[in-house]
Amino acid sequence: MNEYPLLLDASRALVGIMTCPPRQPVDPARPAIVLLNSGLVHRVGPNRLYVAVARRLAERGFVSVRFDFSQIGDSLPRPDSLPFQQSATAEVSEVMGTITERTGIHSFCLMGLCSGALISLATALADHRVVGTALLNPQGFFDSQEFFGHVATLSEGRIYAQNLLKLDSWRRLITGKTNYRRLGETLLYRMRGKRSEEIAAVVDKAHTELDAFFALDIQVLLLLCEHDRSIENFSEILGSSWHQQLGKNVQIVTLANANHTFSSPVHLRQAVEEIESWVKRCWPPGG
Amino acid sequence: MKDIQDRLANISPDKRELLEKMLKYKGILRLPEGSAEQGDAAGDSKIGCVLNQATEGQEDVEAPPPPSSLARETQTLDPFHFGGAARTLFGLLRRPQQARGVGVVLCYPHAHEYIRCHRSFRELGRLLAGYGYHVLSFDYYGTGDSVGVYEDGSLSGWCDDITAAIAALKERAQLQHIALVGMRLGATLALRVAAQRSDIDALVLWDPIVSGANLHAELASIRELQRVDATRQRVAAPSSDVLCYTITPAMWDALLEIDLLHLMPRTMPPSLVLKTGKDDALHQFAERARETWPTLDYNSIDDVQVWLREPYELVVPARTIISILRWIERRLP
Repeated sequence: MNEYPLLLDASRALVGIMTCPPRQPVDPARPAIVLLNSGLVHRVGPNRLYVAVARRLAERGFVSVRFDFSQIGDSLPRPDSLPFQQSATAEVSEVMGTITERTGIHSFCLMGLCSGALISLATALADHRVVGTALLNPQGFFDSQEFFGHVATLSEGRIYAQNLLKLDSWRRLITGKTNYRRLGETLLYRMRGKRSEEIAAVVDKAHTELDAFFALDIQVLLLLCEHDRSIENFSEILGSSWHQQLGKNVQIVTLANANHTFSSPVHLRQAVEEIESWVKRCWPPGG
Repeated sequence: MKDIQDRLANISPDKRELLEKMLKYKGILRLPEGSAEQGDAAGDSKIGCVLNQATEGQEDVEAPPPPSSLARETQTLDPFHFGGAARTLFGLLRRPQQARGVGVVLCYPHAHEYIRCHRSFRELGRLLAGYGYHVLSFDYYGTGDSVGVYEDGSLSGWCDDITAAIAALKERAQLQHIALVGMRLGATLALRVAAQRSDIDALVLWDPIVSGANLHAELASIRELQRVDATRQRVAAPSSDVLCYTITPAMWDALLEIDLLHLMPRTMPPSLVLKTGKDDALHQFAERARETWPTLDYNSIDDVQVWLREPYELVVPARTIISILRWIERRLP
């Protein structure tokens, strides 16, 4: 077994698992992968995604750590009342320090789904040890419920539009199997087409943050699912042609038919394979 | 504060409920008086808040624990592996500051229910450790942080894992007295294990799976529901998994064989059966079991069926957790 259960911080409150390459020594020139909680799901990740990623990457020679932020999963709460955004980035930094002490690795690739992606992004902006990030369906910019609802409605509108060409969708519409209220709300919202002040403010702030993030000289994977609203997040914040504006260090992968948590075995496998191939390409052995 | 409540009044009830939970979690809403200790962890107060609020106005529930029992100072964490090289399992031992000399093994449900119940078991573990019990939570083979893949799991193998967890807890914490607490399939497996041993001092069966046929129907209906997307507009192709967990034919067969009503063990340790919702089969089992085992207590609690809720909903079945604590305290003081 090449996994080691650990307490990763000085106060021995953060529970994590370090996964090491099974048949080879640790290569300190390659970054360690740090997997960050997706919302309130503990360190194994939704549908055990993080366990699968960690074990696959270990086979490819990478060290990884998955851990629980304080008060999430098995970790104990903090002795202070630091807001989550601050405590989370501080804890990632501390965990990176622990990995360095144990393995000699000084560079890191942060990986996270949903809010874990946003913490990856925030930490990359603040910590020069981060050389790569894999952002999986980032959501929840600035914790704004209004913006969250806004992109949810836009995302559902996109799905309705795609379904216009599908016979089965029309059949469901005619036979009463469609959520008429939600359909009506979505259509009305699209017709109104106005952004509230709060949404405009979130877009402004997030635009500034994303501009700064994409200007960093680090490797970035955006792994997005077709049925997830993270696509609308980016198009609302950066504009409809956002994917054409990004640098060569940014790779965008969209998984067809997949949802927010990759909750089918096929999509889960695809996600692991995409992450594996991106990591291998960015940091080849001996490179 | 008033501003937040005014804003909450303007949104739909379902979204409001979710938002209120999130705000409580983030500490934006006011905590109940007395739940926050000076200088304690903010998170401790929040959980104390959840436990206290969930029990307000319930006459039949026992008194909630003081928040100090949830403070991080009451326990230390000890994560470790056990079970040997071929079947390495992850365990997390919570060591109490003032130990009673009694250990509790937590037996999780399986598949998608495992992640949904993780937080509730975490809270139960913290609370029990705050009251002086050593608490071991662990992952079955093919689940969580343990080795293997879910498809290679089996009910008999997971029973062996419970046995290994009992041995690991006894050895690591140097204990003789052990209680098992299981939920759903974890409860059914804990019952099987306890029935074959004489060294289990107490057993808590939290909504055990009584009928494999009922579970089969439940999983089949989930499989149908998962084909419909968020807009209820698209129907995906049928798949063999249940919320991403592939249930093999062998596992289906093993689940179908579960029938506690007709395969009731002859001997049992002092036990508590907890039922948190409408479940006729479980009620029937508990009534029949009470006739067979005089040391069995049966408690029907109107509480959240947490295995049906997503982790982001932040639901903790506080009344059930407190009931378990109080019952274990009485049985194993």
